[in-house]
Amino acid sequence: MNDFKLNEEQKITTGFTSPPDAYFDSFTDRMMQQLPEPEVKVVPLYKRKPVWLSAAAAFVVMFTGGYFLVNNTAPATQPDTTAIENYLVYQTNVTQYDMIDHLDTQDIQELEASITLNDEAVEDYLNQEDIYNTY
Amino acid sequence: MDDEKEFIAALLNPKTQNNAFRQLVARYNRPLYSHIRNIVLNHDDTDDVLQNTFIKIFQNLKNFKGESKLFSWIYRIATNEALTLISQRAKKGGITNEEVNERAVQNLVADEYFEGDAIQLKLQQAVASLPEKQQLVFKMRYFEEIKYEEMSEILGTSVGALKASYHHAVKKIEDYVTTH
Repeated sequence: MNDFKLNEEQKITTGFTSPPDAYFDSFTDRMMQQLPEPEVKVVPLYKRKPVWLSAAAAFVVMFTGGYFLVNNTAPATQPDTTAIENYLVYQTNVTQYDMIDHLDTQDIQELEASITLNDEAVEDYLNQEDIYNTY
Repeated sequence: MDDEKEFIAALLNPKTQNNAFRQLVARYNRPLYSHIRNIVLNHDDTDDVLQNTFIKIFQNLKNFKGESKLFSWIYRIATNEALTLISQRAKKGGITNEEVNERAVQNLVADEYFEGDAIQLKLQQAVASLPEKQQLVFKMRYFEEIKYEEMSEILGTSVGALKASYHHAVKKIEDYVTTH
């Protein structure tokens, strides 16, 4: 068999037949009906802030919040014993008897141990309260 | 050239757009049909791709910068749409794009819009055996007789590369026809 040479042969066409003219005539009409509607420009009622702006704001809040959280190490001020005592005595409705009711044996023993009574203190107390005159 | 500028202006003007687009469809539907048919081979597929092509053209008119000729821009869209269809078929069937074309050639005998004789059918079979890019270059040059410079604009490939591709395609086709 001789070698086939494309350029030496008569031009070979595709072998496809074109559809009838009616196809192309109707194609244009079909095409025009399928065209998408022109886009209507929508004007938003409010303009959305870009996402990066929200992200930046969140970062600033987190950064400053974190800074104060880490550095704010000052201990909470606690009232001293005297202040608590004064508060209980003068600022509340707690009476002497209420306090006594809450003392158990151990509390009383501790109280007795902490109170050091000497003659001088007893004398001062009697003078101050004017008890001595009563008797 | 001035006519083309005026025509493009009419396509971009909302008031004249529909009328101008109707002219564009009437002007290009036959050559584009042939171009797409050469790639996808089947009439029904060609009809689908042709419609998609014109819809894409209409949707992208506002993006047409006029840097290339309207002809090249339209042919580029048509070519991409046709190749996309083949790729989708290949993906769906789990086969290569070339195998999709080979199957399409096998079905040509039963196609009512194909009346090729033995040598025409053999040439189609030979073309289908080529790599996809060579098929495309051969069909556009040999069947459609598109100039290399225009093909270069459409396909975004240098003229030299297109000529080399065509040369290789012809060699392979000649070998195929000689041995089959």
